[in-house]
Amino acid sequence: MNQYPEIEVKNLTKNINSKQILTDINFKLNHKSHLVIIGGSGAGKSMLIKCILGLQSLSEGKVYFKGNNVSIKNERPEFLKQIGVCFQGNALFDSYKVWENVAFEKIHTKQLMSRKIARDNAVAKLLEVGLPTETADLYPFELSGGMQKRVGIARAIFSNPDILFFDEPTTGLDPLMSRKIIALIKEIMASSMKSAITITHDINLALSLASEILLLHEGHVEWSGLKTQIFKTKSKLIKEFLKGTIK
Amino acid sequence: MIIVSYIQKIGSIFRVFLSLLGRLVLFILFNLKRLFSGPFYFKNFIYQLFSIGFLSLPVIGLTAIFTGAALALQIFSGGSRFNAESVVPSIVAIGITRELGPVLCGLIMAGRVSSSIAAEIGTMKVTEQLDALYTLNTNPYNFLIIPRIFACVISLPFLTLIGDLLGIWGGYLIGISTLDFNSTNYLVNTLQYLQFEDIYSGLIKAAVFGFIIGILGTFNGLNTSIGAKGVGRATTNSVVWSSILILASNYLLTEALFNK
Repeated sequence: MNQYPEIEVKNLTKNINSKQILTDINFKLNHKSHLVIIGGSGAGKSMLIKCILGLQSLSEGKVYFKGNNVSIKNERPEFLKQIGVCFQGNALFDSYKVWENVAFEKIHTKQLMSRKIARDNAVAKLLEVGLPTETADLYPFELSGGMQKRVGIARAIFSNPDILFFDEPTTGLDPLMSRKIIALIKEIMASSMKSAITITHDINLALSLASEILLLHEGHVEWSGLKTQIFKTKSKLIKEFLKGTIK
Repeated sequence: MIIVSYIQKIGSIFRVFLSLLGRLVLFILFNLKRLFSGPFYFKNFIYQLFSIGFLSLPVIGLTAIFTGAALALQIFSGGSRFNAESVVPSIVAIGITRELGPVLCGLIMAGRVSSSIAAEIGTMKVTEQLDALYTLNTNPYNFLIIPRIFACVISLPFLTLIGDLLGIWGGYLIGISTLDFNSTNYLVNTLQYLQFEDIYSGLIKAAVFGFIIGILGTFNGLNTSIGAKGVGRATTNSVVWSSILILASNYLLTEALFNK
């Protein structure tokens, strides 16, 4: 096993037009753990994920993936090969069929795969996330919100990545569908034994998925620790967060 | 104080303009770098050639035919004032190949293609599809931008050439049907005074216009601000700036190509 954590964020700071969006963020994502980053709107959750993924440049600090500094551009392609991202709005490509979306990386990058094999693999992943084979040849706009979310998850897990990122996985879904998606994520995490980072504003979702929780508030880490410790903390903000949401 | 405030406003507008120009130049240089570092998505390029080039044929063709026909009527009407009706075929041919063909083709493509590129890429940006591409280890510049710019640069000269032929044909149709020209004489006059330089200079202009359309469409798309309003603004900017730059560069190219 690798001696390094899966992901380590050190002193990450992000400024936009001299305004500090994220301030001195530090945390580790350990093997087989599921870190859920919670926080209210505008806390900097999405920006933090974008900084980790390299979608936004860092003003200060470093991001390490298995000990390699992936804040350096040259190290990033290898990092990107080993992650899967499920976006808040699914970010499916409208002009490609569902199976082409799922197998996108394999049919469009250097790790080329024949279209037939790619399609078969994509169909297998679609079945894994609970979508019937017939959906493979539809276009994303022909699917419901819940089905699109499942396609997004299928795409994220297609290459069997080491780390999964879920950005607000239940936003925009009805409560029933939200529960189904949470169950699906749990099932994927249990069967794959991989690590994951989820961002959400929903404490119920956090408590349901997390092994570790990090509370982000106004761009800095307010509290972080194991899920089991959250009810024992003296952090006022955590208490408010728990009271505000948990019935 | 009022004068100072006006000067400040002018200075601030000028600074915004220079910053935009700087970003545009960096964008062009970055695309060149990405082009050489690869990969080149050939399938995407072929699809864009079809979408940008082939699907523009009807609108380019119709515009060229009607413009050629109108031009023949105008030249006949003007030429008849000093008994120079016979120049209609050669002026139609030269006017279309040198000027009207590339400029009209460029302006139509600015409206049809630059706007659609900006809207498509802008929408992809606001729906996080560009971010998704990146996380799927696919560089959006190589995958989306370069094939579109290339397709514009290659398509425009071909469309212009077809537009030239159809424009001349439009003039010919009016010439023999309405202006009582003899069919053979019209064709002989057209070919007699038309030089190769007239055609290739128009095609060079078209390639430059294609580059402008591709660059401004993709640049505005990538710089879309969040929301539907942002996409709308990017679309409008791409058409307006493409059209202005096409007309301005047309003058500069005409100076460079013909004013020797």
